[in-house]
Amino acid sequence: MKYNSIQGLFERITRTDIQKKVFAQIIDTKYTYRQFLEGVHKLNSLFQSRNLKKGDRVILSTSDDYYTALFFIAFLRYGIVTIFLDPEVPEKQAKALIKKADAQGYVMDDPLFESRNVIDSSNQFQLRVKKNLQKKGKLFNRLLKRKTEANAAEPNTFPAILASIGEKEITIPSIAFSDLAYVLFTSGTTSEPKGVMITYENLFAQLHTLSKVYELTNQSRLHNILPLYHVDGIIQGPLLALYNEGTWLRPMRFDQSKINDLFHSFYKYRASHFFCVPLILSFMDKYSENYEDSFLTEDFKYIISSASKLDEKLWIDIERKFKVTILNVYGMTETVAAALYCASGDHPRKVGTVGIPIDCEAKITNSEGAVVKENEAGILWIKGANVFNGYFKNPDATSKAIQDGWINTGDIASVDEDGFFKITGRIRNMVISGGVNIYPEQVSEMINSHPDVIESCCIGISDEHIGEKLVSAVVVSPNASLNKSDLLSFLRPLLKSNQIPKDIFFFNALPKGKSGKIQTNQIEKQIENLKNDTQKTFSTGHQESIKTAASEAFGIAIDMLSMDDTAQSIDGWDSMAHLMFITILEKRFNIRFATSEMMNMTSLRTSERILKKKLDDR
Amino acid sequence: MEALINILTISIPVVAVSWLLPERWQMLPVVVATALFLAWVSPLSLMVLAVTTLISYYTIKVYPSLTSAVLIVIIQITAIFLFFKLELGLKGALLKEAIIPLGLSYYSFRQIHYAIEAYKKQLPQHTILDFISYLFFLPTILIGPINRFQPFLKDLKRRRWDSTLFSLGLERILYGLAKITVIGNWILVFKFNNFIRSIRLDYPWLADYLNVVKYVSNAYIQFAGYSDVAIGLSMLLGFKITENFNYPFLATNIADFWRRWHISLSNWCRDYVFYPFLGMTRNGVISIIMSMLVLGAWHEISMRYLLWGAMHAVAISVWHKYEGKAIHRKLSQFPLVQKGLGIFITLHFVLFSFVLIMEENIWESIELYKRLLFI
Repeated sequence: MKYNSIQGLFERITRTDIQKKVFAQIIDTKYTYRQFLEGVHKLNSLFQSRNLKKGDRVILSTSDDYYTALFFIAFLRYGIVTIFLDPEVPEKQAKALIKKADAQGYVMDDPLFESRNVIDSSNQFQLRVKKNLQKKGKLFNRLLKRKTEANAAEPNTFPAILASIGEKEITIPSIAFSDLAYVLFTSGTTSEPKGVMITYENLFAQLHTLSKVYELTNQSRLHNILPLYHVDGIIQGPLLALYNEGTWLRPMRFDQSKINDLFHSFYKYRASHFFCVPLILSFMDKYSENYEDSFLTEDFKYIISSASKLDEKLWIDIERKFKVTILNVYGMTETVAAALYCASGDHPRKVGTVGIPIDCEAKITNSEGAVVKENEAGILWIKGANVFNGYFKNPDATSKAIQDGWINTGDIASVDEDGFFKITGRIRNMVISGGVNIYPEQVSEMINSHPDVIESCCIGISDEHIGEKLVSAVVVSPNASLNKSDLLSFLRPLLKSNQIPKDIFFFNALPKGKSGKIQTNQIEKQIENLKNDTQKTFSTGHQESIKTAASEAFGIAIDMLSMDDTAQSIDGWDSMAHLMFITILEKRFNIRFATSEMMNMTSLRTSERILKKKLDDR
Repeated sequence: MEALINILTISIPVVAVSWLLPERWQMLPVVVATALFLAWVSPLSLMVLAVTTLISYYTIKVYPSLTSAVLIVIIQITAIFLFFKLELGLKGALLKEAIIPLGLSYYSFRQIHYAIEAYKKQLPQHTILDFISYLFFLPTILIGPINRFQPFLKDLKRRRWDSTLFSLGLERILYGLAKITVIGNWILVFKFNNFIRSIRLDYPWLADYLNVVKYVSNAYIQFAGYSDVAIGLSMLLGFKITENFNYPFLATNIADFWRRWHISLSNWCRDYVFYPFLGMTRNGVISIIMSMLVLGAWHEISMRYLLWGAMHAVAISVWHKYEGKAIHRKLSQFPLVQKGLGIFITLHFVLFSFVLIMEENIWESIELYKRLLFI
């Protein structure tokens, strides 16, 4: 193993001649290893002076990408357990997670302290992240050596507090393999959130494997724009770059309007590896015209696709179009990031599969627990040094998930005669929509909290572009007048935008079995029938067509939409939904929008104009 | 050559300063240097370019009807192009002498391309500064290629310091200069010319023939050399500009020749003359004739260039008629013979056609044709 501990890693990166090398490039700001290590050192000094101890849990929740990476790695260095809490998480969920975490400290964006009811306490480590506002005349201020007002005003907030920390000697606690490194909450309801506990052993075993499979070196430049409160962002971004003394690139926060910038960024920033989810690849495939040379650089090595199923056609199309190799990896938060790899180089490869387990074991069993034969479907289990320790303060969930060191992935898979694994279905109740994991019970819980709702059930229905989309079947009280738009408005502050159901169907009663269990397959069938009926009544009027498509794609009731709505005014109009919106219209009218037209469709009015012209030209 | 040396001299500090500046200011020295260069060698050109740049950009951006805006831009550019090329200023006593703004043919065609692409909605989002950077781009201002806006913008957005590209650029400039000075000026114009002179009395036909070979070879070498320098200079600034030549004398037919000779112009004529005419008329021959007439007129609006263009149009049409016919299929069974014959015929057609434009006027060309054909 290249580095077997956090101590070894830090000894190496403080000793070698890489201090001037860029560790991270975020948008246009570069941070050298020296700056980064100074930041880690100062934070460790701050932890010591504020009596944070090894094993303490600190909630990390900031929207600043660099600070997220800096704090996480500073915590790792000092043995503090990071509790990741996405700053985008709605209040109710955030409060539940905070309660469950029972943390000894908080590092959060300033406004989150109030909205999440974290009260000032001298017994806790509390650090408010409050960025200085970029003021005009910064250059002159610097020349005149003027202190910025923000710095002077709030010296106890971060990063201003760093200025008051000197070069003090600090004692770094000794960290064992079995120590907890971080907790990442993945699923569960607000009453019983599930936090995945990852140890240093899990983490370093994973870093070692990822580096080997991706063929990383100190020349590697990891282009990772995935969310940092997800393992594919934080582990396969800054931490993996640091582990290899490479560079972490984050030139943008991705949305559909930045697709051109994304294409430019691979050459511009000399990326060697690009980490993405199939949804981003789907976008790249759709907008590829004139950008086919994007990866044809002397630096570029691999695209790494993770988080959800990579459609075989998309895989082949991207590889052929961009003349690039995709590594498809399969994993879960419980395996740190990845476990099975359809890799390249020295490793065997079969397009359309999730490859083979590397540095871990995988088996497929039937319902009796016996290992199945080749090409026979069963439950996928994984065992290895990268498999997590258990769910945080949740022994029941842990014992259900782990048996004799094997974790039940909840996925149905088969293995072929050459040993390649293929994911064919899922038993755990989760919807993977455009690379984002959505736990339906979490959404149902929020729907059920509406006073007019009797019960509900959320399911994932297959979608050719985003894999699956979440829809809800809802039963409302007989005398209630609840409609889609009211319910969506109710849900918006309670759920993250990607958790909002893409459609809501009202049922008189949910189909149930004899035991009273809701029959999701029946719901799926009934929804399909309802959808077909809706399609038959699809209006031919352009405005109505646009609104119907928008309603379906953005998860908003038609009567809530105005033709003046834009990508900014509609919450659900994200990259994934944009793709759906376009595709629905293309299918409906049997047309194909040009790249420039698709790029221009950023408001309903413009979309209508482009559609009308397209139809007129036909 | 003098203008080229001037551009190269100016480019040295421009390239250095450009890379030393913060990224968002890096194109500024290039644009300023281009403007200063034009102000020095052709102030009229600077004025025309500056005015048309602003008119083209803002007309397309603000005019309510895109079709009308594009038409306004095309009419504006074409009118200016014709005004100078037909010397209307001199004829109308607006100008004292016949003068053609430096680089007019290139930046006119770039702007027409920009307008048509805007009409096709194929222009990515960009700013006036991007457009100015495109039109005021020192390496290609003098002698092309007629590079397209979209790839330019792509390079503009993704360019970065790339030592490999920089050294390729330096190499390319050296190749270009070697082509112009050693092969063109020394071997062809000096040595080969002396040889032709020395045999003229004893072998007049051969001397005439070799003179045509020398003229066409030199035209290619000079133009390709200049293009190499333009492409090389662009590389020094982080841009990969389209190639303009691809061994044209190895073309196996005349259509193939135009895919290898002055590629940026022939592609321009294909996209913005041939295809529109084909769309309107559904007649390939008419479309080819229109394209080649425009191609000829781009060089010079004169009878000899129009005839030259028409001659190539006829040849391309004949080639398309012949292609796939029984004799062509039969010859395909002997690929080497077909290829050799194709290269020989194409090359000699090109040599023959260039007689039209190598002489001062059409009568002298006719005289030369007579001598070459023993008439």
